Amino acid sequence: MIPSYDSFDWFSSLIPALVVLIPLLAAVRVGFGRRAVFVVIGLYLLALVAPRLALLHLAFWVTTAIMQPIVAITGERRRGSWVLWAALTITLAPMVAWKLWPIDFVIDINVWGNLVFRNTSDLVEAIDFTAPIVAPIGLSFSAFRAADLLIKTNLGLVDRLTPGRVLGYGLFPPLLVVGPIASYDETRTTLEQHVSLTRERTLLGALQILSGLFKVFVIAYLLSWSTDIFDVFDDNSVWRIWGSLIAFTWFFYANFDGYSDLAIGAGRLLGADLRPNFDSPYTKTTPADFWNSWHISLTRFLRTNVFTAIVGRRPQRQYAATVVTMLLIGLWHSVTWASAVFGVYHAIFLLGHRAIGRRRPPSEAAAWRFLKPALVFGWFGLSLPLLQLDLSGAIDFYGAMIGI
Amino acid sequence: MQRTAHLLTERLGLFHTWGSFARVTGWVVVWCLVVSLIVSPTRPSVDDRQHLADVPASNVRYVGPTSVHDFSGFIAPDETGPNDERFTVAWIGGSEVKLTDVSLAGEVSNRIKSFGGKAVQIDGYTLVAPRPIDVLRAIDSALANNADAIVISINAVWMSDEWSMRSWSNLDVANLGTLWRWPRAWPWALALTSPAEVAWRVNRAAFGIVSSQHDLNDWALDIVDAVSIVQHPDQTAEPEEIDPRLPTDPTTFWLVQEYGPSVMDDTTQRVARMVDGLDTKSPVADSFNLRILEQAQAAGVPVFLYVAPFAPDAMASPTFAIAAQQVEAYWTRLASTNTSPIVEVEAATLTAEFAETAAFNDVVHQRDAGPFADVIAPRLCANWRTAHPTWECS
Repeated sequence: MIPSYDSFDWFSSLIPALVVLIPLLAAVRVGFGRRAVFVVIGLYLLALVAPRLALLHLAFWVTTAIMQPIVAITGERRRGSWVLWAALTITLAPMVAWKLWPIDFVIDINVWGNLVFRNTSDLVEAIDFTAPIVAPIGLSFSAFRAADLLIKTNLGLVDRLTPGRVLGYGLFPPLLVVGPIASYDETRTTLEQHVSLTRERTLLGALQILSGLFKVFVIAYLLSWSTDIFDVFDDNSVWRIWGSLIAFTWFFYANFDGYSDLAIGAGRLLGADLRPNFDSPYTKTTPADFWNSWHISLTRFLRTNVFTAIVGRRPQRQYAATVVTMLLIGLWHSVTWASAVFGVYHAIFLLGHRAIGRRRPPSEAAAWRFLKPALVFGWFGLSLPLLQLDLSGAIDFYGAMIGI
Repeated sequence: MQRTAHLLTERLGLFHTWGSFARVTGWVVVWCLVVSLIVSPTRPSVDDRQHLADVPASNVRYVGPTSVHDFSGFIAPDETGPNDERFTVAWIGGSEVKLTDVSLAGEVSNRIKSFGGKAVQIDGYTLVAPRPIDVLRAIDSALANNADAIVISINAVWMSDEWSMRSWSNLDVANLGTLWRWPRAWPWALALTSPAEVAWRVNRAAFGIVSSQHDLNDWALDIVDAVSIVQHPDQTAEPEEIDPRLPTDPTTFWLVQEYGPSVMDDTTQRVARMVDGLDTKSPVADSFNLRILEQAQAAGVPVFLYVAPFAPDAMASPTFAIAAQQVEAYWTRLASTNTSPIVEVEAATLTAEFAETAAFNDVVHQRDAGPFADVIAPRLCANWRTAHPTWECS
């Protein structure tokens, strides 16, 4: 069993820490000082979970900070793409290892992390011994943020950065646990210079945090019972399974969007303008619109770096690109057959809907305006068992939904 | 979010100036205080274990701490002021002092009804697996609650380097208060106490609604249960299979890494390993245990520290006997720094003194605390008389 972590613990420490952080940032106006504050606070909050978790993130971002200038220098040269591929391999390897061999990976990061402290600091070693055994919390988000930085550096969209800038971006506290996969440019200003905490910024940040708390503590909390259905669907009637899956589809959204709001709101109060991660996805009327409004930072990353890269100047490749992109979205959750089916399922619907749309213009009938979001909601909700169960479990679940 | 901000500022006229911000915030605080008056604060809940009946006719009250989801720390008993009619004894320890209906403190209370003509009142500061830092906190609480004497059970299992800072998040917030007088421990206070815990604590003092947080959580869980349509089977679900290489409890995890999964098969061997500690040779436990001794000496009341006895069966194991000897040697060395005549450290495990009548459930938990109470009661009286030579126990 892989150890779990409640993301709320992160924000329940980060938000009170803002009381100290915001005045500190107001006082520290030089970029170097601001970056140091972000790095120290990010590492401190990680170390409160477990010192070895802070070490893991620090090692990851130090490696990225070493590679980024190399990618920047070689970007224009002939072998630049090879350097980029090597850097991406190094960046994504820990995440891939974690997805492929979760138990071994968890054991190794805990043992190796503690071993470092055993040979360096009595204080941290003793704290580390009694800290929880941790999974690599936030590693998937960090891996994609680092990959995004390296790709943009290779393309010349980001200049060569000092190690402090890379570490400041990597360890920016609001982004460390549940994303979003924010680009470097979303944090650049606050890493470089003083950002005034205007009334508008304060209001928007506070409202976003309140919105996140409402989604997590009211909506998601009240629907949290629905997660149980995946363990006990055998003992429930068809209508209870359907009802629970509908509730879970709302829970899944409210929980994830709520935490994104907390990160974006806290980021705004710290001077970063993080882009929204959700845009009312359950009101969308097509699969394509849905995916443009769901976990936007992930889909934007994959659209830019996978879909567009595959399609290039050959439109006929868009079908394959769609399948690969959606497959990666599925596998990003976990490397299982069920997650792969999740990706293929959504790719089929995206392509199918596009094909139908080309032959027939969308209906303007009033009934459809209400029915379409419900269909999109149902279409997405039906795929969620694939992210919660292994493939045979998901098949059994679908069987139970129709009374088999 | 922009639309909401626009509504608040342009339509409702709020947040136009910083003064407006302060005004709205002020009103929110006022309303929270008003709600707090309506939702009367409930007393923080004490660990369930403490509610279980004590030994009949004993004069023990359990002081805390709270259950693990409640950040209140130790809770003072109802009446803590100086009382000339009462001799209050703070008994600090773990499950070896009070476990379900077995209570060493209760057994001793029935053996010492009064001291110097005053009724003996025992306040049990017991929790599961107390860390040295929890013991320090408990000593502070006991003195703040006017304890006339202190008894500290040293559970050797949790006193080696690797386990000595075991994390009980409900008590972590107390570390700041306990450790601030000890500059060398400031990094510990910072490392063990999260901003979240401080925030809960600060708000608890101001708002009754926050101090009722634990009960409100239960209330919210009841609501979640009420709206759930998922039916759970009557029979208990099979526990999820755990990979023997990856136990998630940190103590077990490190034992398994060091000695392999088989270390969990034999309780005596496992506890012996825990008493021994892993071979990390850091001075952390030393520093905290010395601090306990310093605090005991500064308490100004009689203090009796004793190594909690081990089961005779365990002592028959050579591995365990060696570990116990090391514990004795360790506490003997520490005790040599004690200069207070009213502080006594019993470094040797007292198992041998009641081995024939001892009844243990496992290595440290007694099934019947009576035989050990017979041994320790006179020792306590002797310790208390170091401060009150003319008083007698009865």
